[in-house]
Amino acid sequence: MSMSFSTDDLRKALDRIASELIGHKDSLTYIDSVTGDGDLGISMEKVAHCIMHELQTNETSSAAQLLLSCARQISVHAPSTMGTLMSFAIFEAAKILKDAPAIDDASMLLIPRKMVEVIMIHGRAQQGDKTVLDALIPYGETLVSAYVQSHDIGQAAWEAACQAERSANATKGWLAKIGRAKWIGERSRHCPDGGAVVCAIIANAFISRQVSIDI
Amino acid sequence: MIYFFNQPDHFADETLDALWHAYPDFYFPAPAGVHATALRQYESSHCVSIITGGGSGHMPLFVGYVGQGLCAGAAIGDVFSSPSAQSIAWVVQHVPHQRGVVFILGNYVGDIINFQMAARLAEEQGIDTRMVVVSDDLATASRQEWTSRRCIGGIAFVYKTAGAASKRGMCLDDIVKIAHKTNQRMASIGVAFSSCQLPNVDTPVFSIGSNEMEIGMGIHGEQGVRRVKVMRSKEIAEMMVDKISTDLSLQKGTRVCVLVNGLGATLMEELLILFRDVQKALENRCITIYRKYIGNYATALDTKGASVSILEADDEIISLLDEPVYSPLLRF
Repeated sequence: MSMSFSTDDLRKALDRIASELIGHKDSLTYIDSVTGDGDLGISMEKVAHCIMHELQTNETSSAAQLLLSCARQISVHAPSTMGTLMSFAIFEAAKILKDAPAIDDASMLLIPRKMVEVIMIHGRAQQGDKTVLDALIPYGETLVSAYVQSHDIGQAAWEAACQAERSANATKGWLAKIGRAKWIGERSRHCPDGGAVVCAIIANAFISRQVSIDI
Repeated sequence: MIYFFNQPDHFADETLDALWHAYPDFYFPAPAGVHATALRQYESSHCVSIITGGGSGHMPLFVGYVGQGLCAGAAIGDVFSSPSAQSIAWVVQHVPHQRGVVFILGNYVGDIINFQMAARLAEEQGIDTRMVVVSDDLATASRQEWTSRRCIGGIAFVYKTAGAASKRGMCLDDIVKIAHKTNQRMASIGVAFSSCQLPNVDTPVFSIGSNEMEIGMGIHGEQGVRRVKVMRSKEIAEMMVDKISTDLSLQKGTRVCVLVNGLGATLMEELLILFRDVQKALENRCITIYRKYIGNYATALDTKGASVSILEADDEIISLLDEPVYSPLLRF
């Protein structure tokens, strides 16, 4: 069934996302200590604090304005690679929503695809490189296919979140083709990609589902 | 471990604030929320300005290269994190930009994205910008793919030649050519005996046995490309020189500049010994060192290790390297 997602719903979802990012700080730090420079946990904690700051101080009733403010905060206060890519992705979501009072199904389906496009451009990554895209692309594809089957955006988001979790865990064993993990090569193969894990955490927090990451 | 700080989350802020307190006549402080600095008195408003930036934790990178004959300003992020586009944009506004600005940065995705965004903001204001991405670590890609290598200590050479070109009044595109030429003609490799620990994280980035070392170490405390049994300085120097001279196809009689760089917790005595052994390894190949630089030029917090960078010099590069520079944070 069609479901309208209000700005209040978005606020609650953002609050859950921020809490989950903070809750996973140690595991993200561990993953990044194997595959990168160890700052992903700190960086995502900063993203979470930016979101919380906006939730507490920004009283707008516009979902787009709320997202824009979060994106701006993140770009200033959490400008790591992942933080900056998240900022770009959230800007894209805000552009799609424009002045709409609520997030309709069409926007919900379009947002992941637009996020993928902007991350591909700025991150210079492709699917299969062992990046956030390896969870985000399957998430978006599952969201659309599940919605076509059920016409229920809630059910589709649930199935997509499960897929994001599976896809993030599946990056374990892959050889990275981009970024610091590529430079480390075989030695990072046994860990899932940190960006893909972040995507799984967010997708599952969005629908209040407990995520399970296989580190 | 790092001990001299007050709030672990504010390590980068404290470093910048301390810099302004130590050298108030030299550095221009940025307002709250902006993590950047600029030279108070640049050579001349007729020069193209060079701006750099990257994460904190690499002193004297990046703000240490703000100086006369070097960079006009630098933006920094938190420890090992990119600077924000807003901080970079502030630097652009606070250095002479009439003749344009050259961004010199390391090959890290987050840094590139934020500098690209800052370039877009500058262009909206009619400021011409160019970007030079330094990629010198041979451990991370083959010579055929050298532009995809990550950046380590060799970036110091690029600051020196590009800074001298700017000081001489060269135009934007010519400075970029000099910087690219320097980047292309150098290679680096690092080794380490321990990792580092971020101020707000409880454990080192990775652990390593006392009889082990990492080859191909970067400047973010991450693992290198291979772990081996500890080698002595002569063996390490021979291995490094062998890899670099092969990578650059150095011929007998070539003149080179050598930079032996400490990664943060390495004694000057150790760096001197490593330099001597590098010098011998080069002499054995009939390669002459024209200029040498020994010390901390690009660190990774308290990592115990060193990198060696070798730049194949020609008359133009040597002339540019010989231009005097001044920064209170490094001898160069």
